[in-house]
Amino acid sequence: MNALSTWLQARPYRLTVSNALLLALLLGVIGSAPLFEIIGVAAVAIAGLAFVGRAVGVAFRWRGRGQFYDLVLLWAPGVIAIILSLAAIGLISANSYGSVAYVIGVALFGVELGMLIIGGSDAANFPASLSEPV
Amino acid sequence: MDFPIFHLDIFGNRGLVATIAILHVLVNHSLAVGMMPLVACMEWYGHKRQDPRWDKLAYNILFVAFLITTTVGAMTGIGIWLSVSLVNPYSIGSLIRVFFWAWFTEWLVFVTEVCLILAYTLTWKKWSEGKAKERHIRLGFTLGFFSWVTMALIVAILGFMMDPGNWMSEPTLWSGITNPIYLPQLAFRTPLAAAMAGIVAMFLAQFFTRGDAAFRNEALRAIALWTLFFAPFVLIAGFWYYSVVPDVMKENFGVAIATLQFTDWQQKFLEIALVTVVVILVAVQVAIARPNLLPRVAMLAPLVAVIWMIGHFERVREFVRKPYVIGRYMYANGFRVDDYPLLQRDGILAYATYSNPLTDAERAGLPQGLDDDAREAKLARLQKGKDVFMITCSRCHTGHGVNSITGHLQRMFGDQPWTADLTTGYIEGMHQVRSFMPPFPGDKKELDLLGEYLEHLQNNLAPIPGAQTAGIIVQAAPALRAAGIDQSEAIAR
Repeated sequence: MNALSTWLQARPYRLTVSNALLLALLLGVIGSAPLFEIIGVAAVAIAGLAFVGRAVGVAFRWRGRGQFYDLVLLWAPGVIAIILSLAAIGLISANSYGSVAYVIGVALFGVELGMLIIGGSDAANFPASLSEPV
Repeated sequence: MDFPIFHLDIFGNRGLVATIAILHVLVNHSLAVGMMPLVACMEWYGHKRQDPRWDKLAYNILFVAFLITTTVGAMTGIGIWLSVSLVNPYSIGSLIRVFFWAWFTEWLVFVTEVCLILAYTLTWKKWSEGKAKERHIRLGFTLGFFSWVTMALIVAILGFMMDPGNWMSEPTLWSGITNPIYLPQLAFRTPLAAAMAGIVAMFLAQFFTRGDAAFRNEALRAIALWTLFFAPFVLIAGFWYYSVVPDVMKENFGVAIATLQFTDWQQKFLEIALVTVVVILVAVQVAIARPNLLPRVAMLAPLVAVIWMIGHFERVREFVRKPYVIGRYMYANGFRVDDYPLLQRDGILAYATYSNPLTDAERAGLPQGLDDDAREAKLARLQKGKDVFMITCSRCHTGHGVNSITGHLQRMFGDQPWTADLTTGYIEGMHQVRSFMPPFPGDKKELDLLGEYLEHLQNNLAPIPGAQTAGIIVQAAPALRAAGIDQSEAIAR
């Protein structure tokens, strides 16, 4: 338990990602598509706003210095996560509870919401140039 | 009917062509069309940043591509020609008549491409500084362009085979090239090849950057971005491509993706396809966001996924154009649509230059109690029935192997005797029930002969050999007609 606690504390986003995964699991088990749509879209909106806000801040700091490649690296993971998490919600809505597509949708939503949270955390810690590894 | 019939009764003729063609597409798209511009970009990036690690990685990936494209790629390219010429010489003959100059141009471009890849690979270490390096990078992009042109020319022919468009009323090379499926298919294959190359390069980069974790992460990120850049274009062009596929062909999708036996499997296939796309996207996403979390083995998943997807895509593309091998012009059995009225009036055997002799094993399993005369008469009818089968069915069906005629009859009629009445009643109208089947091309008598032969196959499990092993018998009358000699004149001589 201590090891888990230490591991979670080592990176602040780990706890948030764990919560996101539990949320996806819970919504998936409940099996209500409208509930998943409302809470899922809200979760993506909150994590997305955090990501976008931080990414805009970094891009603003890079004015005139950041290369196009750096900008793509900054934005791509979060944007993909937003698109794929919304696609996952669409998949859940379009398929019946318990079907393979539904399970894939729930798993994808959890992973992508987690990636979006990680993207937001990374955006807050971006160096001046990302041509070198983080 | 002017050629002896090559036939593989276990693997199937379609299996031969499909194996060679799919292997060729995988190599061509991922290691030539998509990979050459990617390698050139990596070389340019390394030169721009004066980072020798990029240059080394690009060279190592190019060397793998060079080895595979000049061996497996080149051999399967020639293999497609050989296999389709053996399996369906009539369709390839028709295509050559229409696309002669396009193919001739493609041959010139292909030879240029081979010369360029040799030059690009062999001069890499010599042209490594200053102006020579810049020239070498330009050589790489030129090679990429020529690789794309070969694909662009061949795609015109593939599109034509699905839907010839205006060519049916205006049979010119230009109207053949500008078929309705050409541009959408080219627009789809171009970013697909680039994305495939990215996935293969990510897999290879893990092996070529061992011992330098920082560069491994940097390389994975950059290549994943390349892959990601093309992904939306694959999707958009994919929709465009799908939208121009004729509705009649779309009805064949269910059978195309899984075979007739597994039509119900369509939903399962779509779910697997969905998992495949998700696996590829997530792998690319993680490679961009957290490349250090990607173990080497993880890149196997998108690699296998993309190979699986492309294999099925090609299979579906080949199948949906059924019952035609060239849309509305030639049926999959090699008969032109316009020749059907003549063949159904005179019968196909009247025009068959060659007969396919029954082997001793194929003569077994005759009904008991036949005297010598009845036995000879039965064998004569079976010989004709076999000829009808070989000419009209064997381009797609085997006797007892893959996609076997006996397998289909067993599924439809079970263990009851497959009498001629039973099977011919179905074959006569099968094209109305199964939209992917061509109408029977022969006359009523030949249909009965075919029915009798199919009944024989129920009791005889011997493989049906092709002309390559059993040889042929030259039929006098059709052979003389084919040679332009009047039969009575020939007898008089």
